[in-house]
Amino acid sequence: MQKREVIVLELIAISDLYGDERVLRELLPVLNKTEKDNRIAIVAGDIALNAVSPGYYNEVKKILLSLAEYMAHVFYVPGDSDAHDLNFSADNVTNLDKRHYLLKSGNLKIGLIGLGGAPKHSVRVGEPLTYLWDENIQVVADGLKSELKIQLEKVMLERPDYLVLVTHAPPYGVADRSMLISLNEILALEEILQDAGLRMVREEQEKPRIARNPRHLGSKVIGEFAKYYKPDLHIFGHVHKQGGKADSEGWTKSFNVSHLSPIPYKLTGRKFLYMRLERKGIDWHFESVVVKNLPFHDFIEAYL
Amino acid sequence: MDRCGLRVGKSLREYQQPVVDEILKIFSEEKKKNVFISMPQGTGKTIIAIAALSELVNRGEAKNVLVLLPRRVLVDQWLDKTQEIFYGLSLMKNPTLSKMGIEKIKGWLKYFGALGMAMTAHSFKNFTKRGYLFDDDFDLVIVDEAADLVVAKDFVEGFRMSEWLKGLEEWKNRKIFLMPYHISERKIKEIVNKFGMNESALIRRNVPEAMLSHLRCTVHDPILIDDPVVDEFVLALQEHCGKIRANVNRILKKHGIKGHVENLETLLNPRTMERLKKIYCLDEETATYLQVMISKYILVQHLKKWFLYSNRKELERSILASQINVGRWLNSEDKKLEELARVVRSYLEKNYKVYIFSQYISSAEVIDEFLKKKLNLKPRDITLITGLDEDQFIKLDGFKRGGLILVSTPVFDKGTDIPEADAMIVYTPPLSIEKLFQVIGRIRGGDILFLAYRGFEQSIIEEVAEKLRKAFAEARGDSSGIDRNL
Repeated sequence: MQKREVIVLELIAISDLYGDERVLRELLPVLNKTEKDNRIAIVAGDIALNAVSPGYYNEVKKILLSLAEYMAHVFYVPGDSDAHDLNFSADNVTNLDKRHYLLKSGNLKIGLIGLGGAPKHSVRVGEPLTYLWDENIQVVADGLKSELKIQLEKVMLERPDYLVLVTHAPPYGVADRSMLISLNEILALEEILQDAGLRMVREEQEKPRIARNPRHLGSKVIGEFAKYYKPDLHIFGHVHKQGGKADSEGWTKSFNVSHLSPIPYKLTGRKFLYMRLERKGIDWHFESVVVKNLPFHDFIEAYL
Repeated sequence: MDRCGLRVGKSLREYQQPVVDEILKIFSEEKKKNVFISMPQGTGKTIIAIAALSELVNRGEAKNVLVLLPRRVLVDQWLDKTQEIFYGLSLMKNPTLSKMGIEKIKGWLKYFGALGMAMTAHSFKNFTKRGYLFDDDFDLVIVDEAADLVVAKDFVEGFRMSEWLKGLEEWKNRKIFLMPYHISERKIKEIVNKFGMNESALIRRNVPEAMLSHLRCTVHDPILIDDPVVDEFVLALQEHCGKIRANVNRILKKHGIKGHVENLETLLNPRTMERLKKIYCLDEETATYLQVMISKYILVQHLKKWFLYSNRKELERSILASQINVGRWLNSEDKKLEELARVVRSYLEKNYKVYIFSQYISSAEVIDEFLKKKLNLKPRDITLITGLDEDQFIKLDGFKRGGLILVSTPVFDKGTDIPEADAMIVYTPPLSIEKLFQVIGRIRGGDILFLAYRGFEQSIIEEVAEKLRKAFAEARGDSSGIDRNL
């Protein structure tokens, strides 16, 4: 039997769920289960928290499988809060960390490559995060670059229509400006305070000194790779403050998709990247999972 | 011959010499250590301080001087002014510890005949924190723009010394503090208290004649913009804020916690919260609830500002953009910006130079972008200056020489004059009347104009405009208080 040609592929991209199933409960009803054949999802890391806890793998599995019910295929990379050796896979769930995948859907070929984890300089010292790399060490940076290049070469042999780079960390200088990432909620408050023009006084004995100014938290390794090898799409998360930002400078279209979860920024949360891919081009926007028809007053009560 | 003094052709204004004499008298006859000078903007407080310094140097009572200013650019300005009007007063500016050691800095002072050094309050903090500077290193300290010496902290702490100048109150040498006239008496009292009432004297002079020549401002009634949709959003957000505030206040009252009502944000300070937990036996759950509610309160306040001040970029990224009515509004034209463009065009037609003030960088950027397109401006016509710019004064110079429109955030709220501007449009007002007065004082006279959405914002802006008129009238020495055409 001749396979039906797919003209349009839907792509959903999210990240930084931190094991919060409520987020998925809000997202999934927006998607139609019966039309899942032409839809794929990308989860750009930080799927669950506390990678050393016994329930961690079950949590990750639960999230990815519930998402997979609505998708033809789910691709993911682990984030800094995920286990370094996270390797869950199912029929339609694939880990892209330092791997590649060629997705054939009708007449469309999509090449995917990925890199999980985050650079050490993007998180606060002493945070209990499990997947970090120090790109300031030359040998580490070279290693990461080589991994990405190898995967790129492999996937490019198939001449895909689109090349998608999926990383948890943003490239340096693109949608990556924020305070250092922390899991501690109080630090989220600190950032809100800073926005309000206030400053939180910390105890004198608290060492080392905590940087209070926003800075670029992206990875130079990823930035350089994207600059030289020009994937068509680059999907990443990690820096919540910049979630929902897209950058189209140069060839690559970059998307920070870290704002589905309302943690820690209720104000910018509850959105995911929705994209329609065709051979002739792509069409994208950030779609919200909120109930749009609520009157303004009720909307504030419900979501803020 | 005197070691230093006024250059040939330069002289003090009539009202300045008596103040200089009074400072000298306070130091030499009354034997007080601290002199606080509070005078209106544009009256030459800096010149008065330099004249007093010059006199003290000639008398041999000042050999090492320390000048403290809030910003690096103001240090440069201060020294330029000193060189322009006085001779013999050489000061080392902005010594940087990261570039040279303290011994080298002190060596420069000793062997090159510098009278002292001028630096930012930030550098002062670094020097004193490392134990490199002490009060016996200097005979005289001059603190310009000293209104921020104390900050109102909270109910428990009350006014406290600014973090940057902490420790200065313990110094035993002579000090001159320069402050604007328009700071509250309570604040002045608190500042003086920190330095000891018995050791301090206050010279608070209004100089109406100087004000008249410098500040001929016309505060116009706000231009009202009809956009009921914005008003509806803002009122709903305001109501939400009110609810949170009432809720928080109820909890505070229940636990007998007084204060903090005016500044709920202070409760987000972990140190304050820890103290409250101890003093009022506040349990962890209530403390967390309070902090969550207050951070929500801050978020809602942000949203309100974004609606009022055309920050559509941020709104588009927020979840509110998904609400059907907000979505529609975001796709419609920004009536406030349209009105701003109309007003600016009318001023440009009269050959006026316009200064547009915005408290927020994001709004300033939006204004700059919008006006460029709408009025088809050349890059040299409009100058955007915010705290993100390193070359603020070069850009300002560009505006002064050939620009038509200056869009700026509070980077020039202290010490910088922009007399070239004929009109000021306050797009987003600063956080207090004191700051607004400082900002407006920069243009040294002209039209002052506010824009406001009809409804909620109208009432606030009308009140601000009225207060401003009163402040001008008071500065002018008009007892009746309100004068629309000063």
